[in-house]
Amino acid sequence: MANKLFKHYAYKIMIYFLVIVILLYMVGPFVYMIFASLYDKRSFWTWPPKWPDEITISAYDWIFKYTNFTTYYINSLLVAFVSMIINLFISSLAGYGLARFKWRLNDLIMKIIIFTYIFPFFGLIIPIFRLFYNLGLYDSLFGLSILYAIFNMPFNIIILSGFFQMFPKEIEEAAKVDGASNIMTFLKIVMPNIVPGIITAALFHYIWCWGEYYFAAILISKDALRTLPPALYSLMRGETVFYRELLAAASMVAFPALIITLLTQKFLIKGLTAGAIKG
Amino acid sequence: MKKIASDTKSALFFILPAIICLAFIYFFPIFLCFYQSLTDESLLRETSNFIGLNNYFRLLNDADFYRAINNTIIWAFTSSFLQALIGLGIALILNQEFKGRTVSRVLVILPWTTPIIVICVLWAWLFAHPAGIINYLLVASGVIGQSIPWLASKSYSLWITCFVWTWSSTPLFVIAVLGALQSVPPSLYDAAKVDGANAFQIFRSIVLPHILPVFSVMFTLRLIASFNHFSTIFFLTEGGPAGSSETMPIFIFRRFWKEYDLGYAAAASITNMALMYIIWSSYSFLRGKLLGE
Amino acid sequence: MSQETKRIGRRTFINYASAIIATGVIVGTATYFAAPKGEVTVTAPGTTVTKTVTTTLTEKPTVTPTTTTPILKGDLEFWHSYTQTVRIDAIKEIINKFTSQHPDVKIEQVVIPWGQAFEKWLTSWKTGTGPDVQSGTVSVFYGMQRLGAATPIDDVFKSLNPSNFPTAFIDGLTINGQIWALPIYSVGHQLIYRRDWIDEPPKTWDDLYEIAKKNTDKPNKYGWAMALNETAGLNQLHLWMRMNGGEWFDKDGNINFNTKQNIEAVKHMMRLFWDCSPEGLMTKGTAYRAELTKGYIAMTTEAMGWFITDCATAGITDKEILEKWMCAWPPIGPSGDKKDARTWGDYKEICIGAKRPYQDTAKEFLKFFYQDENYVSFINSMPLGMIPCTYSGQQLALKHPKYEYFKEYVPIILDTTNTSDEYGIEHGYNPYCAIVQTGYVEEMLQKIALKELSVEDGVAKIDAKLREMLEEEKKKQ
Repeated sequence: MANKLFKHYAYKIMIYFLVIVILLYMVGPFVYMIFASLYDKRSFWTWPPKWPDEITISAYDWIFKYTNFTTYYINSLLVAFVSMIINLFISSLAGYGLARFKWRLNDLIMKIIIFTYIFPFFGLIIPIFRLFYNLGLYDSLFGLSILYAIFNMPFNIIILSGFFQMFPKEIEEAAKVDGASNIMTFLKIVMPNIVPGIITAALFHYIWCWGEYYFAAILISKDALRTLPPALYSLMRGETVFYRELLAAASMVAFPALIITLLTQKFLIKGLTAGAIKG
Repeated sequence: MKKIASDTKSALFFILPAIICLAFIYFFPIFLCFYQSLTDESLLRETSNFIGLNNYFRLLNDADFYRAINNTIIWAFTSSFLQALIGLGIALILNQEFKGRTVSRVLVILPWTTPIIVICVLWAWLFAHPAGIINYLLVASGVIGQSIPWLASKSYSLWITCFVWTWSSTPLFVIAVLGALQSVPPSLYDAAKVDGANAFQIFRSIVLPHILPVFSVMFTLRLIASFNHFSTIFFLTEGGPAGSSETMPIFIFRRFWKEYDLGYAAAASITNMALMYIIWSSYSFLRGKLLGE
Repeated sequence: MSQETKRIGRRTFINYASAIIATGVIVGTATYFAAPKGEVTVTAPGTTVTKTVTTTLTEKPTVTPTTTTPILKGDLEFWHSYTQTVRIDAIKEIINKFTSQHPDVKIEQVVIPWGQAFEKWLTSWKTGTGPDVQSGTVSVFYGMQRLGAATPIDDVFKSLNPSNFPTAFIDGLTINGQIWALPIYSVGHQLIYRRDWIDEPPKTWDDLYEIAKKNTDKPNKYGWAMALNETAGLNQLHLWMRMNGGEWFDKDGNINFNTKQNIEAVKHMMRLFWDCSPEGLMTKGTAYRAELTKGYIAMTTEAMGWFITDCATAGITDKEILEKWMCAWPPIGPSGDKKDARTWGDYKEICIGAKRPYQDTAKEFLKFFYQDENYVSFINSMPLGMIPCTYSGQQLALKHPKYEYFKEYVPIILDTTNTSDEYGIEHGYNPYCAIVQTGYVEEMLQKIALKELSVEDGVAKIDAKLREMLEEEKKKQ
């Protein structure tokens, strides 16, 4: 009995120990980042490192005072959101089409989509730039949204078609027997049932957009239209390095993701698994 | 017969919007990229000449190209394996019963949801030499005698970038495995316990079969993503020092933006794609054999 | 399933397949070839009036005749890479003043970090967009000019009292008898050292090495700081080369890199790097300057005025700077001659982009920018960090209180600035000077630093590659 109890506690202690190690590894750097962004200037720029003389939010003040941080933030959110809607609409259609209908070219199309997914994107920059410029989508947030929506399409089509394959075909056929058209079946029967999948794809897309740097740097030049990653880059690689302020900005950029993950955690875990099995 | 025709039509209806979109951003630019790879187009000129396969021959004689290929393969496979292993370990631990499980599950996802530039800012600062906290702690605790220039040394830079990328994408595996673990019926565990199976046996005969499909798909996707990954290395070392952490995407980037050699960069892109396609299809073939799909 | 699908006729299959491929290719090609065909410049005989016709897919062709109407209009983009907030704010103020006089004009600052500047500019040039007003390094400007992306601005220059500009600057920006850009500021690099650690600045290279060595106690104290990435490596290499009488190009514009002087300079650099400098700085660019503010580095070469700006970011007071740091002339190398010694100098120009619709407004803005009051307000946003390029501007700028406060530094800063030059333009205008900056030189320096190459081999390789690139560039005419 005592032995069993001992075993139980040893097991518990081991689990907690491991969990603490994991959290230190995955979250520790973030905690340190936030702590460092609260240093005062003089203590931050000292070597060897020392405890701060005072804890201050002056770095955050600086970010809001000297950069259009709020604008960048709103732009990033806007682009992520608009492109997410376009992307989800088109790629769920395509995912459904690829998963459900026996069209001879489906395999070929899937192959092509995988091809596009593995293509290194530098080869695409100049043609895309020209195209967007000619369409008047250069230096426009809408243009960037469209680009993001389409650029991430292969991945989301792959993920979503996995979901559609998972959905039992019998239910759809029952609906069709009742006289519903393809599009009605898709909207009324299939879509509501794969909400976890849609949310997974949406989250993936959001995270990709939120961090995308290269196209944002090439396609946007006006300061009022910048998104966060290029803005951070200019703090990082400017003539003067504002590292303390950069860490403050970085802490704020990392923040919304946490909220979204919190809200969608349940769906995410279910969704990714289901989507990935057939993907 | 009629069913087939309507299937084709409906499929077309659903797929066509995506195809048109992809044509703009992918098919046409890839087509153009292929054409450019046969010319000597440069960013510094307005005209270009058709030079056939010369860019490809040049590529085959370029020692930097082989180094980049080598680095890419090492980088992508190492980071994918590490992501898979660490992700699996973390998921198995987070699947146990303990207080604060939900919170830790959410917190662990954090590195993945954070933009890669933030992650690079953070780690570049932690790994700085000599004034970086990691060096400071290691020297102060006596683990190393001299501080190490992590990001500026031939022997470490590739591994450090690999580590940072691994760190930031491990959560994907954690999520995937956690999800798969939830699909294991609890009764299976009980039955195994009654039979007196130990932890390893339970893992092998119950857990593994359930997570393997997800795991292998995840691995493929991460492998492709790692092969094409650019940002981490770009922000941390830009392929340096002296090209020691230069992978294919960085190689293409440098030909493109530092030497303005569009044709050559295009040839490298096409070659890279072909190479990846070979790796990818042999991998899926292997996976099909192993999993009996 | 597979049996059923096989029944699709071959014709159907081909139809759909070709339909998809055709959509992609046709749509793409159509948009691609409908690209702007560049600018059509129509010069009416007997006049100097230039009409610029720009065609794009979406806009109707716009004709902007060059007239002297006082009412200015247009949306301008001013591209530069001055990321410090003090400079951005100073430019913003000038723009606000200008637009309050001309309500129909809008000017936007586009700040591009150095790392991106050239690629951003090249993409825009390749696609026919681009800046209306551009400010950057002289070598990038030469590239721009050679590729036809800049516009001559003789008229602006004439209206600005030409005798106000030192001829040395103007000579470098005069191409084919026309002025293409105006000098905006220049500043030379000095030897910066900790005066509380080092009593006397070194007089020879060996002396410098000994002092650096003596002040090195890794990992808490380093005698020297050297970054080898981006332009930072080039800057120091150039400085030591020129201090030793070396050069990149000879007087006839041929590469002359593989010389005794340059090998000595690289050896000197590497000795400092290996024994006295933190290796971690190898992959850093000019941002390595920030490391100085952490107070563990004894010496380096940098621009004192810039360092003072960095100190403000790091919370170091002016008083502390004066107590701790001092600047001096870098020592002259064994093969160098005091008379020919040069340091590295930062030369920035400002020019007006070609192919843009509102060139007159841009020119007016340039004139406005160079009015003493505005010009000096920009220059003094970073006191001691930018030396004005007009005589009247210099007189005004030196009245700033910081010049009085740091009066110990001022003579050395002015002296080094006056005897500095940039890579590739040691002998004046050189359209090919940008080949030095493709990143190859830095990569070789890194290889030498990592001991993959000997100094002699490295220098020979740089020389060979530069010659090859020069040949290539000349072919592209």
